Amino acid sequence: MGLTQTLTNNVEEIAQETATMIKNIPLDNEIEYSVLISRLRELVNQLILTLKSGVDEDYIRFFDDLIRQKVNEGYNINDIQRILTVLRDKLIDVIEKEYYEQPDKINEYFKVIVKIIGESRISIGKAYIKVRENTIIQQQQALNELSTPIIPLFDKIVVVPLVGTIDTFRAKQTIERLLNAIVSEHAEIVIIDVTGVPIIDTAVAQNLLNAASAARLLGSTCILVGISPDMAQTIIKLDVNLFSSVITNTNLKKGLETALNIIGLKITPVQKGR
Amino acid sequence: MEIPILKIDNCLVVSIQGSLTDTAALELQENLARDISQQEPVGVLVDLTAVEIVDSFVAKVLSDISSMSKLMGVNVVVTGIQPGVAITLIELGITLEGIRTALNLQKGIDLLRA
Repeated sequence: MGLTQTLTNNVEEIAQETATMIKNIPLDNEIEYSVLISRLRELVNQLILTLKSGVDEDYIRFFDDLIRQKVNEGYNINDIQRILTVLRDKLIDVIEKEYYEQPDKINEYFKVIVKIIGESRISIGKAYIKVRENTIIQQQQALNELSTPIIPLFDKIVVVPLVGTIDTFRAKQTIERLLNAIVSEHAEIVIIDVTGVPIIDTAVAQNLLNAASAARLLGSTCILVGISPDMAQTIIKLDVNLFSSVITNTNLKKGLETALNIIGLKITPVQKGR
Repeated sequence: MEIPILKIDNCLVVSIQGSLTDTAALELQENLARDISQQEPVGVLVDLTAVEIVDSFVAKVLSDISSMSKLMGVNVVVTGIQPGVAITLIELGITLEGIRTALNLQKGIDLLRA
């Protein structure tokens, strides 16, 4: 009788006894006994399949699905690794019991079990990284969409409020969207608000200047507002006279005044009554 | 294909259509210099609305054309630069410093008349 046959005959016993053993070790997250048993049953069946056919796509998919589900439920990967350890010990127990008269077989099957558990650990690691990377990518996309709004404030005026650190990737994306907005809104004035930019270095300054120059090429005037005192000092210390070609204003309010002035408009109080 | 230089009132209008070959760009530079000296316009409008792609050489020639016209005493307005073209120009370090730009031809004309 081969190893796979032995395991197949004992799936139920392995699942139940492993579950009982798991109840005795501390886990980070509680898991319900019945759920645990059915999970273990699936896992053992998958391991048996893998023993027959080797590591294939089904096997990888099994762990991908398992980990994605577990991570979404809020479990951490450590519990799964602990459970795998308990399962390994149980499988070895079963083999010892079944083949106690054939030490050479025990030896051989031990190696098989250790190997397949090792493979499973690798797959779990890979699947976990995959899930995490997906999460990071999704968050990054969400962040990018949120962080570079371009607001048409008034006829011919658009505002770009920049928040957070501006790296080259974000700067490029912002410039691209800004230029498209200039064309679609027929904007003559672009107000770039850097109130929300905490730190500035030469790269960020260069990116801001690029945005301003590109906007100018399209025929609009760029007004840079909200440079903090710290930022101003840094720019001077960096010895980059980058903004001499751009109009700068203290804050968005002043920037708007300048913008209206350039396009020849002003805000006046409404006359009350007739 | 030779790029036409049109005269409207006392302005010269150069409208570049599609991609600009190196020879066409150089030819334009020569013709424009000649026309400026012969016709003595007050302004030159270079319209790039229909230009989707520029390479470094053409970008350089465009920049040269603008500076050259300015040197010859006429006001230059470059109009209708597309977003992609603007990004390329900035990346190539060509900022058309000192040359006026406008969003479209109409606004360019307004600028010259102002």
